[in-house]
Amino acid sequence: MIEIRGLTKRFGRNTAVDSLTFTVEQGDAFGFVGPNGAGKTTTIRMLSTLLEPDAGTALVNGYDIIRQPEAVRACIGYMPDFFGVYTDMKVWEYLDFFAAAYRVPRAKRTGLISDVLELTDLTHKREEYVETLSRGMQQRLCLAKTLVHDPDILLLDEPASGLDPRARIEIRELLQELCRMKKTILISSHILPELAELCSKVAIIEAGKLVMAGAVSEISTQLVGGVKLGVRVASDRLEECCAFLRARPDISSAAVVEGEVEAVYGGQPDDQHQILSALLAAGFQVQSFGEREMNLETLYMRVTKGIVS
Amino acid sequence: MSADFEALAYRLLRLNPCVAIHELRLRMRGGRAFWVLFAYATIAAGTFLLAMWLAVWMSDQSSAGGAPRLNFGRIILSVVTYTQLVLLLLVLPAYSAGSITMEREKRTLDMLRATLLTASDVVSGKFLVVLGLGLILLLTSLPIGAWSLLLGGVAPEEVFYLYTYLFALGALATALGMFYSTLLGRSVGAMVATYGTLLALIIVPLILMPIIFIAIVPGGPAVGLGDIWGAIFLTATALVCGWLFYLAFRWLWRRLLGERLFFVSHALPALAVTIGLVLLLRPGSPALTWAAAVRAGWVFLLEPFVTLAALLEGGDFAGMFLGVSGGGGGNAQFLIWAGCTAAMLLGTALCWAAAIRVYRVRR
Repeated sequence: MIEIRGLTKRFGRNTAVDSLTFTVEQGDAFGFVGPNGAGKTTTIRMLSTLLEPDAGTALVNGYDIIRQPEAVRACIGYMPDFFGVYTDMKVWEYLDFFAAAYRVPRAKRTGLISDVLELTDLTHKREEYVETLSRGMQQRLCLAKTLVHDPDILLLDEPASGLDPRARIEIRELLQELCRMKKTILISSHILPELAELCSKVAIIEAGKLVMAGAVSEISTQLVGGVKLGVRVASDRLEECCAFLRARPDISSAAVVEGEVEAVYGGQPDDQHQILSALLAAGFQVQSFGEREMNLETLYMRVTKGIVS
Repeated sequence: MSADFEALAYRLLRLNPCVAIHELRLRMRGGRAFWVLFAYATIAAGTFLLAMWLAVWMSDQSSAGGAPRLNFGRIILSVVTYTQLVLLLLVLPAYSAGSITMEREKRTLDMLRATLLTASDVVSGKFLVVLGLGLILLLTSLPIGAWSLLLGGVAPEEVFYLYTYLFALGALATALGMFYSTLLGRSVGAMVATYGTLLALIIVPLILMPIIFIAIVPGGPAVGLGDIWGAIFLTATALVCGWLFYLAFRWLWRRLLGERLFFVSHALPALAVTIGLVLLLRPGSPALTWAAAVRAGWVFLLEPFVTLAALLEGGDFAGMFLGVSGGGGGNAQFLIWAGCTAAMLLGTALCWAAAIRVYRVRR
């Protein structure tokens, strides 16, 4: 797990990361979202022990990033947002070098390299030179490199940036596979729909400050003041249904949105069924009734103001 | 075998050899390494043939006038050694000064830093590979240098002295490049700084040498500086030094402060240096009198061309720098070799350690 406590980093007068505090639980796929210049890369670089914080600290798998950087490095796999590749080097040599850099014994390396190549679907490129791979393949190779010492925690900075749709989907599938392998993943990205598919929890950062953190549903509950419900009834009774719901004390707001009534329920989660019962009792022919999760993009736009630190 | 080597290197030296293996792959693969070796051997062989031809021609000329035969072996060794000095100082810094900065420019440095590799693993691995390349270059030229033994007039230990000194000097140039590579952000800057430092080490003493040499080396050429030519020479030397100082000062000022200065503000310190040098080095100045009294001639041995000259000439010429004359020459040659090689190796160790330190601290 990752525990960030008051992490702060300044570059001259500019505070890139300002007293950041949040926790990523073991096995979480955690999205790290924010506009350009918000401090995402700086935070990930501090967690990777590449930058020393000016204040605060973080524990990665229980190791302090300032006092135990080597122990931290041993348990993380770091993928930077921009990276280069070595020329005149074959794919297996590239992975062998990084495995050796993580002190993986030579006897284990051959098997490990085959495994990560298979996972990243690069087995057929084993003997190719790295610079001849496409951008998408290089990105997958970089991901393979972060996995070569079998780390518990992955810090991925914009892993799908600059990729075409097919390559992005391949990376997403790969990350989903890693989630199934119970790796703890902190992933920063601008592509919110992808993060929404991958991540159970997110942290939204703006101008170096944490705006919100937690499960997407929790954040939306916090934001809208309750659970969002979607009710589909006959189209000629939408307004009537809307007014009926608004009159209830446990509904804070209701509106017609895209052919259904969207209402915010502020009561106890176990009592939601009472709404449906009341609607049916009032003679509404309910075609569908359920919770509507706020999509990450809407959430992001609601909480950020476009400020850059 | 390789696994054993890796484990052994780590156990004995606490050094992860993967960086060195990786560097060897990058540097030695493809045609680049072959062409560097080929060019080096070709230039060394070319200068050898040219020197041979010149020596034969000069020998023909001098024997016609009844002059003693020339020492062929020593002429060949001199030419091959000086050529290698220049080649090594050109080739090795080019490799080492770009070794860390290239990682930064290619955006691979962060990935290296995020691994378990220590600063020493990275810096030493890269340093040792470039040093190995220097050793290969020297060994490539050894068959050419060995001709001097066949032609006579050169003792085997003299060849040993020269080659070991050249290796130590190459190590210093490599370590200096390594240091600037960790310190500066760009390869171009690191190369300029490395070549600039080496040039300063070579050129400045060469410019000052004629004046100080006359004054402080016992038994040196009996030419005074009191006459008009001496005065002109002194002034010209001081002007050249002042100009070099002007260029270095301007470059540093702009780099450190990022500001342009008026010509006068640049030139004033340069003028002060010029006048200071004239006053300091004029015949009979207190500084020169003191330098002569403490036999400071050995200072010039920090200049590689002078050291090579002393090692090649031996005898009284070598003795002059240490303030000994007559029969002390042979011993002086050994002392110069031991002292200068040790000094170069010490400089190498300092630059190497500084590079590791800077790599560790710089984020």
